[in-house]
Amino acid sequence: MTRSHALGWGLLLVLVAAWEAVARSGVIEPIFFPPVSVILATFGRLFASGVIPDHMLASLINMFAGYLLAAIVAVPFGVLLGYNRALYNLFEPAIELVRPLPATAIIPLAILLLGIGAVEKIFIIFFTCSRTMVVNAMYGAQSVDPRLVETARSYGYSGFRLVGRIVFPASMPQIMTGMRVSLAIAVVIIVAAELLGSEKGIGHYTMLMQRTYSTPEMYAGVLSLCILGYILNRLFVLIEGRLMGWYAGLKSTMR
Amino acid sequence: MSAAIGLRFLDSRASGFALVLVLLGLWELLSRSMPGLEVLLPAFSSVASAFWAMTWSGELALHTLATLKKFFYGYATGIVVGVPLGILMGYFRPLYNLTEPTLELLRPAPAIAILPLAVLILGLDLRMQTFVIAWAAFWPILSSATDGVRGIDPILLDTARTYGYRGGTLFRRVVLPGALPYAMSGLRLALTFALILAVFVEMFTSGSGLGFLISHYRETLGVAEIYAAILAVALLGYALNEIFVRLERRVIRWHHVSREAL
Repeated sequence: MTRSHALGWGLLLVLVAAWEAVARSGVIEPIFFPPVSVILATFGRLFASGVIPDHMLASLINMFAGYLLAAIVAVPFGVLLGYNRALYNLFEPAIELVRPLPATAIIPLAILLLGIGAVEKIFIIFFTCSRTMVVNAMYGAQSVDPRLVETARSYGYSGFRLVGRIVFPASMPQIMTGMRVSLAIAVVIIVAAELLGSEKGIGHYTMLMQRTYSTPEMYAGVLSLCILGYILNRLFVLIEGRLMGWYAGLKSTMR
Repeated sequence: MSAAIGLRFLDSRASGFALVLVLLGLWELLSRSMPGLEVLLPAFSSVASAFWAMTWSGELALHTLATLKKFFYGYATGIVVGVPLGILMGYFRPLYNLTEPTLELLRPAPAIAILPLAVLILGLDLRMQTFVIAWAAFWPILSSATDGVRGIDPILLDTARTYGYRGGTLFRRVVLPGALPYAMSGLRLALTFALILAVFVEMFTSGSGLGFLISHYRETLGVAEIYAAILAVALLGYALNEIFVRLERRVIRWHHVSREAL
């Protein structure tokens, strides 16, 4: 840790202290800005009693079910589309049609068709993520160096072996970009879906606390969402590092 | 002979449009052949005629404009705040060090987490909607602008300095163009997020906009109208993306040229 970092952390501390001081002075209604200490204490209490972990888990299960389902279906599909020109021609216009639709638009429809519950949430996340994943995997496979594919062919690779062993790994950087963007959008959409209809989940809980003017609990909910985003982000970087370690090595040797 | 025609068909773009038509036909057939399904999945023709009716009554235009207004206020605010701040953070190391830990804590938070807070403090009006959309757009813009500036080749900066570029000129001629291609990717992601949030805040709060229209028809069970409104949102998303891509091509055309020259 250098001095420059210390300065940044110092600023953060100053901001938190200023918040605490302003909140305690009573200048602003405590219903809007409870002191940080109260928020943290509330968060700690809700965390220990299992309220926040329960809601968080409910959100995470639905989100990951949809996200992983989308990855399993959409990534191989996208790679195939990027590799095979005929398949690309066949499916591209249909994908182009659903691609620009902002994911939130289908939430009320999903509620109408599937009712409020896990299936509805998983479907919404699947719909949201699969589009980004397909498109990125497709671009990734399209931008694979043709010489690489030709070389593999001359070594006797063909069909699924060629796609699985050569095209797929070579598309990984772009696939990971799609996975990363999808994850960021998925977190937003699962919370959005919970706000529009749910009995459980951290987004639902936070909004409920806002509606009942339980402000410290609401802030604790917002804090949980921040922490959730932070952990997911770290986790993704970690997994990406594992999966893409060879790529970083490759890039450095190519320099 | 017929195989050759088949191959040529698959080689052309025609197959894709044919698939779309086949899918729409299947939708129509499915909905018409199964009584009871109409309530959940109205025939495509019913959706099309609902879309047509809503277009002619001016309903779609009115609500599309309302959504556009919110989107534009929020997105523009995100850009106006995010781009300069991002560039400054990328350019001035001390500012980066000072703000990074605080921003690092806030950045990964899902943009929508701010909504309960915004509703509590700002209420349900346009200010709140603009704030939430701007918040969602701000983060990708800030990150990409910062990374764009930091990614500029130091040799390029030093060379420019040796040639006497300073301050404002250096900024305008070297830093800004250098950061632009990367910053555009952030602006694009921000557009996606801003649109997602614009539609959402309308479902959640307002009495206008395409998002409102969708949730309104869900409550009144105008199912064909829901599909028609979703179609309108898709068209809006398509149009905004198209405009963005065109602008992007204009703005960074020199970038491709300069890369090819290298």
